[in-house]
Amino acid sequence: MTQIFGDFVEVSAKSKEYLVLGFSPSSIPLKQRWRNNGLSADFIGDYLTTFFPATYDNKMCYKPTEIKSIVSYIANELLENAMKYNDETQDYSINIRLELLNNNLRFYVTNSISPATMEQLKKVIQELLSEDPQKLYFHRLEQNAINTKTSNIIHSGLGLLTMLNDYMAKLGWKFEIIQQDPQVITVTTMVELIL
Amino acid sequence: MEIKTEEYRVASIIDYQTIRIIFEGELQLPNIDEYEPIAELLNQIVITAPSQLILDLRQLRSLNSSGIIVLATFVIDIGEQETIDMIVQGSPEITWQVKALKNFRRLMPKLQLEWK
Repeated sequence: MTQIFGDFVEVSAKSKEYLVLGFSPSSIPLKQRWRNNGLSADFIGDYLTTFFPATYDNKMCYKPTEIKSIVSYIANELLENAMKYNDETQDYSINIRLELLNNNLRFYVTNSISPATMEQLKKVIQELLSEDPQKLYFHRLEQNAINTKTSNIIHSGLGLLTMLNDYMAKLGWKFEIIQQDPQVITVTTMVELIL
Repeated sequence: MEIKTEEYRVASIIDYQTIRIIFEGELQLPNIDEYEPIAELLNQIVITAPSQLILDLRQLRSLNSSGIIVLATFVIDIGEQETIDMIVQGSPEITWQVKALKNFRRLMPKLQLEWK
């Protein structure tokens, strides 16, 4: 069973330039490997800049230094979400893929997810897709200021909202049951950025 | 007051009626709970109610969305205290700051932004 939400686009068969990183989530406790998210995200940002300025031209929306910073931010947020939503009971690797097709940059992050967390995430997704991202972004910040005791931002989706609001990104999700008995569900989050 | 780790440093310096808060490094803690010591430091400043507040973010290279929530909460709290003048100093070279600081000004229209 596969379910698609938002502007999900499958990995392009034409893609010749891409980078994939995989993480075995159960090998080290979450807290210890948290710092890896930032390191990996910075690496991905640095890696991408190797394509520039060779292909950089004035028609692009961002300067190479900005691209590095934006890519690092988005990759970090996606990895943080993947680590949080990941179903720790499954021996399934988290992976992040970055592909560049002309001026389209796409991130794909895949992790396993429990049925309960999947339902929570679907609610966040439906809210993101049905509301105005800018209104929702500020509403979320104001809501959090009132309720600073919110201990877990898994439901807030602020990282995803930042991508929509500040970087005009397109977002999509694919949920798949990849194995039955025991059931293993995965979610792939896609973020597309026009450079 | 100062909170310092290998990755980041947050410090507040009182100079008569002005409090300068400096954020440096890379701040990417896993959730709001982990930000509690920083939120508490910021809370103490809200209680102190200085006449001027300078939030210096120029050396803060990265901040995740949990951190943005913490800083936005601080901006909203300061905005509610109408007697405090707040200046936020950011770096135009750091993309997340360019985006986030403009959003902060929408949360507190009186906020002064300085790009250095």
